[in-house]
Amino acid sequence: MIGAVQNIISNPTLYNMTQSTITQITTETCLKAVGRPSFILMDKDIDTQTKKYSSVKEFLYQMTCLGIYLAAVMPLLKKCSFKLAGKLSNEDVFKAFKSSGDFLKYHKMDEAGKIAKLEEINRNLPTGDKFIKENIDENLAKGVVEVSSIIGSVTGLAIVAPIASHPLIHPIMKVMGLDKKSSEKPQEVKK
Amino acid sequence: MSLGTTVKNICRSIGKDNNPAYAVVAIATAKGIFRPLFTMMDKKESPETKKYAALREGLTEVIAIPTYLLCGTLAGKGAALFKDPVKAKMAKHNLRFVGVCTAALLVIPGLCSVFVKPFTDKIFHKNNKNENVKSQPDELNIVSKAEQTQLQKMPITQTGHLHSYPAKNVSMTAFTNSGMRV
Repeated sequence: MIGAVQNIISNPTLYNMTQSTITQITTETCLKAVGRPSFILMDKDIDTQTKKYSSVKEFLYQMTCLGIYLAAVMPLLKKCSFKLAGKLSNEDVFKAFKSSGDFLKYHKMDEAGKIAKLEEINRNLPTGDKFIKENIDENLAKGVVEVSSIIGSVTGLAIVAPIASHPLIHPIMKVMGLDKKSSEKPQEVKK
Repeated sequence: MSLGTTVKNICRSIGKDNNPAYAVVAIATAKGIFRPLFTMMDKKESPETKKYAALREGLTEVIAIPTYLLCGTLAGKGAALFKDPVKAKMAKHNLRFVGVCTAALLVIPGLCSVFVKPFTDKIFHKNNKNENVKSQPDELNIVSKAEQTQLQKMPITQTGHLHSYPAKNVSMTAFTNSGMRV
């Protein structure tokens, strides 16, 4: 039993997966989408209708944020950041790989695969330049990808998503019959 | 050290080992600033509701930041059980990730339900009390501010001022300030 737990904890696949900021944020947001509504539903001080309303709203908010982040913010930032880093820095790694996707494929390869990939790139070069494995700063390029992901996460989840999710959540809740405003309107008319 | 070198070093460090706490702490910090700001900018809500919601959101993130860091660090300590350095490095990172996930799923919502609601309730009840005190009208001041004449309560025979006229201590203000004030 302990051996199995140790194997899971030191699993290289899990390690490689969790090195990516996108995986970290996606997992964390999914857990928030489950955890926060559960805690709201467990609260004994609130009435059932309010609990239902708040928990559904929180769930929809987290999922909308995640959707906007994965669909709009990250693809845009991934493209721009690598190109920007290539323009600002003279490092070989940004010259050898055109996009962050190409670099990440190379980063996941074993030593032999990396050498073969660099030879392939060198063959296709129009000039006499040659890239060697020692000059490819993988940590820097990986860092650029991850830092841009963190910046994207902050921009997406803390600034863009709250603004964009607000007009999306209310119609969905109205369809579900949980929008508070629709139930409050008759009371206002009575007054 | 130039700015470019510093940025490069930060990128290299994150590229070498991307601590799961970095991203979540960065998001929590930004959320702690922007969520209350957006709430306060909402024109549809009443000012009291906005203040309450903004305080709750801000406090949630204030609790979240140290909790993420603490849970990640504490979970990472479990890697000391691994003797193989390669496995220990992987285990440290994976355990940090598990710690951050536990914080997001259980610890932060739990801490918030324990601390945030009572704290905000305490602040807002206090404010309401103060407002109630302010909103109450001042009590009617029916006591006259005119100078009160000190009348001798002891009989003249006991004071020893037999030859003095007893009304000589009474000043004219006692008469001019008396009566109904308009």
